[in-house]
Amino acid sequence: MLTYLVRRILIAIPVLLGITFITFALLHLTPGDPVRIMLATEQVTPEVAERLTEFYSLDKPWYVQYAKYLGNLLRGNLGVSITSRSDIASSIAQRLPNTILLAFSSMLLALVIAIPAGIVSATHRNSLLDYTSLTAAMIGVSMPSFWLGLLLLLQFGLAWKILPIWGVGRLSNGLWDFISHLILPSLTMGVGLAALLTRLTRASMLEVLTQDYVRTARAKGLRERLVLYRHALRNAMIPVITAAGLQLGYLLGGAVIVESIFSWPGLGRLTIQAIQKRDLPVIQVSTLIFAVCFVIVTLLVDVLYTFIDPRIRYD
Amino acid sequence: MTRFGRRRRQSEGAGPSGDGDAVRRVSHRRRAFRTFLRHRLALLGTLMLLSFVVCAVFADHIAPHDPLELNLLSPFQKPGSPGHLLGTDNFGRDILSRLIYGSRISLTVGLVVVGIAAVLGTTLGLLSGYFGGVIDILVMRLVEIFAAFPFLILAVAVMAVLGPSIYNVMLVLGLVNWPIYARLVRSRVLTLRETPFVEAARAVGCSNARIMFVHILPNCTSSLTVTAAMSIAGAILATAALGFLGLGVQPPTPEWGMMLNEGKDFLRRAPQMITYPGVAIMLIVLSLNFIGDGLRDALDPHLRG
Amino acid sequence: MKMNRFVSLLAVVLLTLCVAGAGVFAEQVLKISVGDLENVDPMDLGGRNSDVSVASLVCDNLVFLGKDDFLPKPELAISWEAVDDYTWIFHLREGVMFQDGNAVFAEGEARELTADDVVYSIQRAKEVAVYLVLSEIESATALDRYTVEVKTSQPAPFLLDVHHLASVMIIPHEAVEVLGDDLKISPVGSGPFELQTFIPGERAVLTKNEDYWLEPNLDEVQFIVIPDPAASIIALEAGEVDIVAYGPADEGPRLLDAGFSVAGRGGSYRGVGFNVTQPPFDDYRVRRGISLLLDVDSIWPAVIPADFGERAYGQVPPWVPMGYDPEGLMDLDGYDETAGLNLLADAGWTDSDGDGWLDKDGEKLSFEMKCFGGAQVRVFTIIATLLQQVGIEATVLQQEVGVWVDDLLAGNTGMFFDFSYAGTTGLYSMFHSSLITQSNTHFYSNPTVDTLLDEANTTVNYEARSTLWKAAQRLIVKDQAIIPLYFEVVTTYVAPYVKDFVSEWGTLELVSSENNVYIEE
Repeated sequence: MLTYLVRRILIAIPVLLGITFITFALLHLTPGDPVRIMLATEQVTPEVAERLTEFYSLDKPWYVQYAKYLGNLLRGNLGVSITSRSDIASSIAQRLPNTILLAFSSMLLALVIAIPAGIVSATHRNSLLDYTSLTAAMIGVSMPSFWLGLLLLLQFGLAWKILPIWGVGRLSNGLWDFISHLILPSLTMGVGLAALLTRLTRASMLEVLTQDYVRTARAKGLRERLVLYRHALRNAMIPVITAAGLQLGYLLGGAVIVESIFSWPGLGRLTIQAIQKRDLPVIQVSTLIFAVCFVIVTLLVDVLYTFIDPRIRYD
Repeated sequence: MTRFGRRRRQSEGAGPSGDGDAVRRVSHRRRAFRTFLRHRLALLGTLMLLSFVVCAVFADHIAPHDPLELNLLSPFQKPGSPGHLLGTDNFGRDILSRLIYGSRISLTVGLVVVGIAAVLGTTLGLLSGYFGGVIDILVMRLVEIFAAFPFLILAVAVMAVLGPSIYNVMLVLGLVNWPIYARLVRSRVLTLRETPFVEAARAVGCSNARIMFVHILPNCTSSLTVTAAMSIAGAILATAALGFLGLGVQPPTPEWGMMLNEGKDFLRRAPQMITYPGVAIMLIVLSLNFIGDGLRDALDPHLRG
Repeated sequence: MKMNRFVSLLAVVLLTLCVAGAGVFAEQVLKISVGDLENVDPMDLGGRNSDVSVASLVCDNLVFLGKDDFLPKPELAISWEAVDDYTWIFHLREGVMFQDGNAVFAEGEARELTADDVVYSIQRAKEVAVYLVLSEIESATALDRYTVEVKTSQPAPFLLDVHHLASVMIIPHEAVEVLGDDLKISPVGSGPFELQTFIPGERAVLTKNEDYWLEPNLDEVQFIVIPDPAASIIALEAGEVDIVAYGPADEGPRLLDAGFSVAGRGGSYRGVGFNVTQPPFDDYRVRRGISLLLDVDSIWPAVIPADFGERAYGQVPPWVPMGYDPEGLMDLDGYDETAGLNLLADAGWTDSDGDGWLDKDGEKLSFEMKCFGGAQVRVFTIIATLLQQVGIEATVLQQEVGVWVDDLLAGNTGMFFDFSYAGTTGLYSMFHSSLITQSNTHFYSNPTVDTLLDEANTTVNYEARSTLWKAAQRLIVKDQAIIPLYFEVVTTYVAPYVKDFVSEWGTLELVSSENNVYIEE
């Protein structure tokens, strides 16, 4: 296991390098540069445009810029945003915890809903319960998140006024402050996740429940619940945690729409805006962080496999 | 009547030669087809999908109005107004007609994207899980690169270089979506690889390809069909996200994702602009889910009988 | 007995006083919702409206721009005069103190704002500010403690205008020296409110400066970042915020009905722009023909609610009285389908093969109208549909912002969505030939217009300058380098209990000689 972990971590390095390199190359292939965009949207005057271009080396060839970027990165200098001149390291440091918080709480909510619902659907296949859960899942996955988010805001924020409309809660302001701000955004993000995970759990459970070893356990006269949870569920979880892991990876990149609607200061909005403004330094750092998170989550899921299903080996 | 039992019975009287194989294969297919037909929901799903397809193909004859016809003097008509069953949008265009014409693009996008992603992802997942070793390492690194890469940069770059057409949208979305199929299939393969029946197949002398596609793949049907059905919604919603940023379908082309975008600004004033495209997406996902259920019941060896 | 009654009476009186006192001393807190907060270094505000608003509460400027006429009014400078065409003298208010109780000046240790500070600030702005036009300023000198002399390299009629000297905020040099990078999140000035908290992307909290030379009614001002327009309106309706800055125009009619008011000053010009060097738009008859085919009066109300816009006949908007000239330009407009088609026929575009599309030399009259996002798409959708109905194959091309800019500046775009926020620099930056490949995206080059604009730039006399501007504008519109559509007013929504609020123009003035915002209980 240890050698496997070390190997994975070592391999991750070229992957991360590869991602930053491809990002850089793609951005340079793409038309549009930050100063000209600022010029066209009237955030700088023509006289200044040249000065800025020179200052940020935007006119140098791409490999020179990439080298400069790598050099700075290795020295721990994350740079300054071209469009707002704010310090990138502090922007990220402020936003990353918020993104992580939202990602984990959404995933938690989704799993808490999905796994029981999936199990119930599987054990009561084709019953009313099953169809209800199916319908709910369909609605959950088809609804655009901005629609769901705004509807929730309208109901809980405006009509009933029991939940806050914007921002992150702080534990220092009390537990309710923390939780109340988290509920609606997590719900909005979690619903779509829960839909997919419920259906996957159901499908996977159905499959496992007809396997030989389950029949053996039943034949042995073991109580149904024991059969379910000790034998069936563990093996059914493999596809579910695969999907959950992948989705968690995406969530860690920040969920733009939810962040925007609930004024949740996370990495998603920062990244999207940076891409539109071609704010290269911000895009680079943000992409790298997202990639790191993703690689870590993937590794954890792979390791988790071996604990759930001892048959899985990596040699 | 176990899985093994059935398989042995089927191969009774046949050797590893052509004849016996042919008999076995025909029985599989006919059995699968009959199971599918017996599944009521799958039939319902197929009917629903077919009606969407009919809408798409015969839009010119079915739609009550021209989807592009501006009616600037009577915007925001409520659903049920004369001549407008689902109301009109901010330009006075009939929503029902736009939905019908929109099915062309949205259906195509949804199905093609998921098709590309599923085929690509499943193949790579099978190879990666089954052979392990260097192949696994390489494929999984590819998965990480594609999945960890900010999708938007890829989208902007592709659109900028190749142009903002709907085909490029499908390409981009397909490229972004395959990782999940690869990961899912691989995870199933890792488990199944060690099971007795795969070992038995190997012992009998089945080729790797045969084991992967005939023995292992059908056991992945559950996860695959569920994911694929759900992904259709994701693909259509993604066209909305792309459209927001000016990538993809051009206005005034009717497309469900774009209709969601246009409706967002009028959520309070004219909710019909968002509601109906949303319902349409939901119905497609529902129909595909039903079909998926039927497929799984028909193909998955565990669930037969 | 009597004693008890007396005590009870006393208790009641005291209690009443307390309650009344609480009413009188109730906290006046104003909450404003904005789209983003990034960096409030007073010289590095880069045209980011919300950051400008925050910084303008922390600092004072020499002047502020009046709420009704947009002309400069005294703030730190109580009077000023142009001694000659190249020299300006500003007389400063005495006794203005910088804020104390912060990292720069300890409590009670603040010093007075003097001419040296003005000189320092102007110099720093020239170095650091990317958004302001200060190249015309050659030097700034402190003649004495309260007098500043500014010399310009050429006559500068726009010196005290919104993106020029009027936007320079006065800060103490100690702030730069002591705070360093922290200047971006905790600047110090002499303004009516002190910045207590600034969290980029989240919020800013400012409290009243007790030592300000005016007495602000408000005790506290909060800026809250709510990026989504729909969410910000929900917050407004729920009473969680009192003002939504730059809100969505679509919600306007509904909010007005609900009792909210709109307090936008300024806004933007919107129209159709042509690259006059690119075929088929290099032919005046094509541009004019297309203009005649569009009934602008029926187009623009379908895009934004009519209350929040105005028909545009030229580029200069109503809030720049100097060149705003609807009467002088109305005759250049026109909606006449027959005349339009005739002009196009003159230029060679007719439906020679009867397929319903205009063509010339075997090629259809076909082009893409390029825009990016939002209301632009709506406008172009309507225009494209209308043009298609008369046989012109016009299609909308919605591009990603960066790609749009690139195409535009490279000259690949023939017809594009034209917009401008700039007040007085708009006409120059959009049409002067020296700015082709920069901000003159029309690639328009007219020597007469150039001369007129150059001369206006150095004419200090307001009337004379106005005449020159209007003449230049008339030539541009006559050449049909653009098809003016509408002016869109900023829709900043204000709750009914907020009184005396004036929307920002250059700076946000919550307390000035013209207003003092307060909240009515």
